Amino acid sequence: MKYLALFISIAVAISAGCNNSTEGLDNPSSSAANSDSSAPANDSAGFKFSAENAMIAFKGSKPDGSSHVGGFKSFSGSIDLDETSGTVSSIHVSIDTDSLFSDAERLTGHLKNVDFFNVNEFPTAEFVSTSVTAADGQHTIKGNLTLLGKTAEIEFPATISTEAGKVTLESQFSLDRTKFGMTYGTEKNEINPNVDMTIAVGRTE
Amino acid sequence: MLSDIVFTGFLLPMLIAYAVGRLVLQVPRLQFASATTGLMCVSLAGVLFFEWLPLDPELHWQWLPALILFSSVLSLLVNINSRHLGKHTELDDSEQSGSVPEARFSLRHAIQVTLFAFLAILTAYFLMPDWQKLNDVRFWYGIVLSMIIFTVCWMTHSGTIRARPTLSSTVLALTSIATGIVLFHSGSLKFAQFAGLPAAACIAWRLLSRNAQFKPSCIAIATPAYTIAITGLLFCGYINSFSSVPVACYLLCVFAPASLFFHTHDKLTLPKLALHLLPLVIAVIWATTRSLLDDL
Repeated sequence: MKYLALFISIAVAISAGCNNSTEGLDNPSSSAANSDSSAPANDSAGFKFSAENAMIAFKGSKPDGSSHVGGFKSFSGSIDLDETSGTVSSIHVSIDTDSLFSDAERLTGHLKNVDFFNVNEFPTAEFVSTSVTAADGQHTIKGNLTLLGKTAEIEFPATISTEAGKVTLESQFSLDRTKFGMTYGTEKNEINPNVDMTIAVGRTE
Repeated sequence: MLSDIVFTGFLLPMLIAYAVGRLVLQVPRLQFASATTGLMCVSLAGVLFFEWLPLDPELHWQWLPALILFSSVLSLLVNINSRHLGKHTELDDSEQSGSVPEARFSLRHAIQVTLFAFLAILTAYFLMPDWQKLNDVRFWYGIVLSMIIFTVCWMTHSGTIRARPTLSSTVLALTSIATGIVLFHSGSLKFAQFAGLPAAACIAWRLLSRNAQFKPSCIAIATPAYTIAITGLLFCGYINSFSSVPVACYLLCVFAPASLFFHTHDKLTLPKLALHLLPLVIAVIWATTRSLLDDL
């Protein structure tokens, strides 16, 4: 068994095991990386956004109807436009999960803990679109969301407008957090598995 | 809801630990394993009820059940071997009477200390997260955690050998409950639930202590696994916490069972019991106060 083999071999490995303290020191933390790129800027590659001109919020609820709202203070992303048609071709978002906040301080701590976002272990959540389709003025965005180290495909509607290189995106949808192994409270139906997401990009206020 | 958690996270594991302990006590050659097998069973109950032990642990804290089971088995094996080789008599008898030859005591003591040291290092190795932000301090965290586990394990083991099982099991059970409360306030509800499992085992030991065959050594043999469970949970809770619960609250819970080391054979009085439980009371009140202040 793997466990047995590990336990036996650990006697040899133990002297070196705890001493990898310099490993990865050259790599900046994801939060630092995110904060560096937090300032939005538009260039020819597409429309860039961050917490300064966008919002990613969520609302978690219980079966009894009570709910809490929260969001992320630090994230960055880009919306790429097709050069010929001017339509949205791809969307990428990277979220610093440690920037999570909610309407209650204790809840914020619990949400950052292993029961939910486990931000120490997984400091970044990422969304990469695979397709953006438009029909009757409404867009459908498909893509891969990586949360808690697990990647799952999600699909959500959005209203997108592009005018003179400025993009606005509004979306509200329900996200099943259990797809990503975030199952706390769902086993005994204490907390609803679906979270209401609200995304707004390109706000001017 | 809460009743479900209490039933599956405490009552049912306690009944399982008690039933297994009673069964094992019926077999004279296995009586020494009655407490340890109970603790192993509640760990397995955690695996069943809370998916505590993934088949392929990915996160540092997911190694905890495996460490508890491994330390239980190793502690049992060490004591089986000692008995088989004739180097070991009932721990409580030898300690109390002082009739065991010094050579035997030294060998037994050396084996136990080696076991504690090995398990302490092993636990620190597996429970230490590989987070980048810990790169500068990981080695020292590992050293400190190993030393704490070793010290608490040794002191608790020495204390439980001398103390009556009723006292030992009571102190250990209340330590587990206080650990659960501190972890609850630290925002680690999953770990707080897990703390109910060793508490269940200790309550089962308390019930088993009414049986004459349930000797102090039964609990002493289980102390390495118990120490790893409590210290491991508190370490994982502390390192994953975003609350303002002070580190002293965790440490008070960690070292509370070690108070048994200072237990004398005098008659147990209420003030003496209160002295054993004082660190736990301080930890719970402190953590609760800080948690409530955060809400304001």
